[in-house]
Amino acid sequence: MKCERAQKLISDRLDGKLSSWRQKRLDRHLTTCEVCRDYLLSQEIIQREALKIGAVDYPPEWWRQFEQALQAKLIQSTPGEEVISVLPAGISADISDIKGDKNSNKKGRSWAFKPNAMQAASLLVVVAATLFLIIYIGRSKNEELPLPLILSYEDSYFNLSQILAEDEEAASNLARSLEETIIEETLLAGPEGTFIDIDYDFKTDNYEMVPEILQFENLNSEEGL
Amino acid sequence: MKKSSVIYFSIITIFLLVSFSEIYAQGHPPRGNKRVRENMFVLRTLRMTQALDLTEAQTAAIFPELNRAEKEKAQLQADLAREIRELRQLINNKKVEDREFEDRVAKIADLREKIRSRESEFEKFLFTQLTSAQKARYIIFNIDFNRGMMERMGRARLAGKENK
Repeated sequence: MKCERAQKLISDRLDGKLSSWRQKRLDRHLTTCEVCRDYLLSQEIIQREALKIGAVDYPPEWWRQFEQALQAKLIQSTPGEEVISVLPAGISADISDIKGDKNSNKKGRSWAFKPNAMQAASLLVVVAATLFLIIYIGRSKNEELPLPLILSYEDSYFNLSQILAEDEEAASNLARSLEETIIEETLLAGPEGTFIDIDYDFKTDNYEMVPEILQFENLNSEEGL
Repeated sequence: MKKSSVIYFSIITIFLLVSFSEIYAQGHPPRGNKRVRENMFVLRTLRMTQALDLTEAQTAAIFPELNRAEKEKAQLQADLAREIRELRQLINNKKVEDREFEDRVAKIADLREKIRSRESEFEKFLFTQLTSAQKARYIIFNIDFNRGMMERMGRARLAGKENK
């Protein structure tokens, strides 16, 4: 069990919300972890002293000033500084003793790292960017061919046809997409567009009206040019 | 006719249909591929004419040879695809002798060489008809067109997957 988790369980135990199964796990951890034992001790002292304090009855103005002072000190304090104590002197001293012991035996302090919102957001952006790059580069690698293969139309076609041989639907989609582009580009070229004398009898599945420019077989070379 | 007989008859019919359709699919090239080859050729010729800005005299000289080369290469590609399809089936058959594999591999190598040779022959002829700028444009056009086709195929496959 990690110290961070153990300390959450310690807090639950002090509140009386710990199940017997978790209690056993916590006990096991406490037998081996001195840091958490110290933490438990300090929390027990705080709880004991807190229970001794009766209900306080200060005016609202006092609480406002207390809050402002506390916030000002929190802002000023840096991570290296001592934590501001708002507890009675006796309790602070007890806790300081425990801390002194802990500083001389620093181990298992990873639980102390608590990233703020900005750090978490930055981390999220970095993770998202990395994932995007991995996916994008992976996809680009799949789609692009090495230059020597791209240079040869027949090698490129062979590679393409081998992939399409295993995917009849993709072959059909590609054929249809090519037909659409041919129709589009010849219509855009208009009646004065380039005449192409090709032997293939170009037939489309989706278009009843085929532009005259593509009705190759019906034209002889004199009419076409 | 008894109800059980109808059920048995239906099951046998379905089994036979599925078996025959699988045998047919293994032994025949996918129908979509022929259309892809033809449409690619039409689109490539269309774009090449525009990209190279061919004159009427150039098209009159180039196109007959282009058509001849395409017919021959399309046939060679179809033969190569068939050989590879059959080779795939042979690999799964443990009883095939080494001699058979050797013959097949030699045939495939021969077909590949013929395709390359025919392509190279046409390009040599084409370059005799083009200006220097047109030759340079042809190289770039060829790369762009081939890459474009691969990307287009990627989109076609993706569309197929999304439809499933």
